[in-house]
Parts: sequence; structure tokens; C-alpha cells
Amino acid sequence: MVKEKIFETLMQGDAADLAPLAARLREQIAHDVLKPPTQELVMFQMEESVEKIDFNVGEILVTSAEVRVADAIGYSMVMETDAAKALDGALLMGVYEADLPAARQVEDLVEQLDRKHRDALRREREMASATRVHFEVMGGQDPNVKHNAEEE
Amino acid sequence: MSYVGVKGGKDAILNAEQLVEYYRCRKGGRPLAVDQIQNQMRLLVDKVMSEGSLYSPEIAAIALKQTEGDPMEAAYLVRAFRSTVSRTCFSVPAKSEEMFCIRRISSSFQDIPWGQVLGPSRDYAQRLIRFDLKDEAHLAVDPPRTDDNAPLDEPVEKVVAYLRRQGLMETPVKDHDQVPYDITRQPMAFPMDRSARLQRLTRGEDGAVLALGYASLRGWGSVHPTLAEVRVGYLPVKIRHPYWRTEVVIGSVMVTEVEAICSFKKVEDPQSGTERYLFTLGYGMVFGHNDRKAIAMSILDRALCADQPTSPVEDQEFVLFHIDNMESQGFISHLKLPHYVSFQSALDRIRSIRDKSNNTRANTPAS
Repeated sequence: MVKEKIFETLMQGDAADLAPLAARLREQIAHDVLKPPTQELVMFQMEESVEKIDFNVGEILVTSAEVRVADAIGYSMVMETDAAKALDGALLMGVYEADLPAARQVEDLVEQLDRKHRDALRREREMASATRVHFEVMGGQDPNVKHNAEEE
Repeated sequence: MSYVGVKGGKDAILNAEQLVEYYRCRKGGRPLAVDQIQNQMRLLVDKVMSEGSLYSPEIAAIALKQTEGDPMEAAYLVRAFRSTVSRTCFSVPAKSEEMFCIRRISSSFQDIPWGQVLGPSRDYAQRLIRFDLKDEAHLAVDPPRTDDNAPLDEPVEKVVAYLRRQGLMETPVKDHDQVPYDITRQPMAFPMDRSARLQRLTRGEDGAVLALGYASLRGWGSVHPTLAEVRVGYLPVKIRHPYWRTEVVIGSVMVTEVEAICSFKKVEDPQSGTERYLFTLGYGMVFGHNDRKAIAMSILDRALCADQPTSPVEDQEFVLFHIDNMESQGFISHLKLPHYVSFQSALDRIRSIRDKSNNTRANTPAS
């Protein structure tokens, strides 16, 4: 599993799912908090589709943290103000990046979180699909469509 | 006439603030939980995030609670809050093809890739008060579901891609050196760069953007589009990892995007020397779920592309100065402040005119 996938899945996971493993590893593994959870802004940019120019849509509130584990720095950035999740995410990333034996537990967690995330997306997709519609143009109202009676 | 400031009244002002809190609470009942506002007033929260120019459902919900549900005042608080937090980076520009759609409709084509999907929409519902909500005991609704095995990561092709393949619309070429204008850090100067106009429009006040877009449809402008598509869904938020320098996703934001097909324009092909007619396109995109504002934004985006403005909604200064919530409410609200000195001057003038008029009459011999 590539480190980007680990990062993305942890950052998008539920705080409650990260917390148990982070709490266990916090007790077992020496670490330093380099940057406590800090609220920051990310300016969200979008490429519009008329001329393909980029523009600033608005800012997004995030919380980031950094934790040193052995020689590695675990970095996290999560949406909103969840300080505990940011700290847990940074610790788990630090453990993974330090390539400690516990890194395997982080990978296992990521696999679980990824399944959960994809299940949630699939459910949302299926809900949207239940509203798929095919409108029929009514005869007699559109000058380009002949009324059924006229066709006969 | 300039405004002359006043001072004093500290105790009364503090008491007035306390009274606001009293009026918010005096009917008793259970305090509104922020998560209730966030989850059950999602469209109001989206509106505040869009006008507040900050994506944070939690902060928007707190602001709504604090302001007793006044979205303009809530957006004001949100903008004030965002000015206290430092910006760490820019996202990697998102592309709407990456959107995970929960709603997607087109009014220009009946059959579109992935189909017309209404998603959560009241568009076709009857506008009748649901009195059963008065005594709603619990929140539980089974959502409708239909099997859909389409790959989750597969992008949904855009309607305009078809028109571009047909040669009916210009195919833009990306300028990789373009740096978006940032109206939160740079002054507004006219004519405005299009990236600045889009930033100004997307954070515009819902009602103001709607009113001016509507004015265009009614003939106070020349844009009356057909919607290529309206999309609502989640866009990934990508940043460049500070240590790895690779692109990583930290989460997603819900947005509404509109592409509006507008009138034709004549384009000369310099190679063949021939002329051809192409559709033009207007673009709207806002934080959260808000079809109405995104559609109106797409109308104004196109209207503001006019080389020679012939109507108010094609005038950049007219549109972009008047749609901003902070500026418009600030200027209107300042009328409530004491204007004793400036009004005294008006009183002096009208008395002087009256006296002169009376003197003239007194000195005029009766005929």
C-alpha cells in the first residue's frame, strides 16, 4: 500500500475509528508532538470549465498536527476542528513512516477504513440512482414533436 | 456629506447585547444543539458557508445559532472568524469531472451519460406545509435505493464535452501559468480578471445573485441560457503534502456546479479564413447544495463577459459591488447609526432656504 493511500484513508476516516489504535500506540511507542493540533485554512481552488482557468472558491477550515516517531515525522491534516483526530492521525502516520512493527496495524486499520468508505459511497450512489428519471416530451406542446393523434 | 462619529453609551450597548441573548432564550425549551442545526438545516448552513466563504459546517451552524438564524449576520461572523485563522496553503485546483455526483440534471438533452439523476430535490414536490413535522418524534427515514454497479471512481462525462466534440463550442486550452486573482488579498480593480469575478460571484449573497440573474432573464440583460447540466456532489480536497510534495486528498466538500449554454458567437478561423458560430457558456459553482444560486451565477458570469456592456447586469462594477453581503448590509446598516451632525447640516440648509423664501415674499410689493 502506498503512503499516499494510507494518509488519505486515515484523514478521511471517522475519528472514532482512529482513536482506539492511536490510544494503544500512544501508550506503547515513544513520540514527541512537534506541532499540536492547529486550526488553519486551505484556499480551495477550482478549474472552471469555460476557459479552464483556476479560481479561488473559498477557504476550508482544517486542523493539522505533527508527531515525531523515531526519525520519522507523522503529518496530518483533517477537515474541520477535530483536534483529537488530527493528533491521532499524525501519530498513526508517524508510526507508519517510521516503519515500526506496529505499522502493520496501521495498514490493517486503513484496509478497514477503506472498505467502510467505499461502502458508504456505494450506498450514496445507490440512493442517487433511485432518483434517475427519463422525462418524456409531451406531444402537442413541442412544435418539433408531432402529437400522437397526428401521427395516426 | 461625511459621517461624523459619536462615542459613549457603553452600558446601554452592553445591555442591548445582553437583551439579545435574553430574547434568544426567554421562551425556554431545550437549547438548540449545533449538530441539530448542522444536520437538519443543511441548506441554510450551506448558504452561510457559501457567503461566509469558509467551508466549515460546524462554524456555520454555531454562527446561525448565535445570530438566531439570520444568515447574513451569520455569514458576517464566519468571515470575521476566517480572518483570524492563518492560511496554510492552496488546494490543488479541483476539476468537476472528479465530482462524486448525488444529483445531475440537464435541461438541454434528454439522454445524458449516467442519466438524469434528481438526487435530493424538492423541484417537483408540492409546496404544502407538512403539519406532521410539528410532532415529529424521531429522525428516521429509509432512503430509496436502486442497485448501481457503475465503478465509483469513474468520472461522469460532461454534457458540454459532447458539444465540443461536435465542434459547437470552443475547446479551451489550459494556461498553466495562470495565477488566480485573490479578492481577499488584492484590491478590486475594474475591469476585473475573470478568476476574480468568479470568486466574487461565488461568495455573493444568494438573494442578490438571484435577483440580478433574474433581471437578465427578464430582459435587463441578454443572457437567457439553457442548462447543459446542474451537478451536486462531493469534490476531493487535494493538497500538496508538505514533506512528500505529492498530491494527497484530505477530505471532500459538497458543491453545486452549473454550466449554462448561452447565445452564439461568431468566430473566425484564422487558418481557413472561414466563419463559424459557436455556443457560449456561463459557469456557476458554489459551496454546498444551492442550485438557485449556482444557476444565477452562471447567468451573471456570462453577462459579465460582455465587451460592451449595454445593461446593468453586464456592468462589472454594478454587479460585483452590489452582490456582496458584507458591503451591502454594512452600508445599509450604517444608516441606523447617529447622523446628528450631518442631519443638522441638512436642517440648517432647509431652514436657510425657507427663510430666504419667506424674506423674498415679504419684500415683494403686493401687486
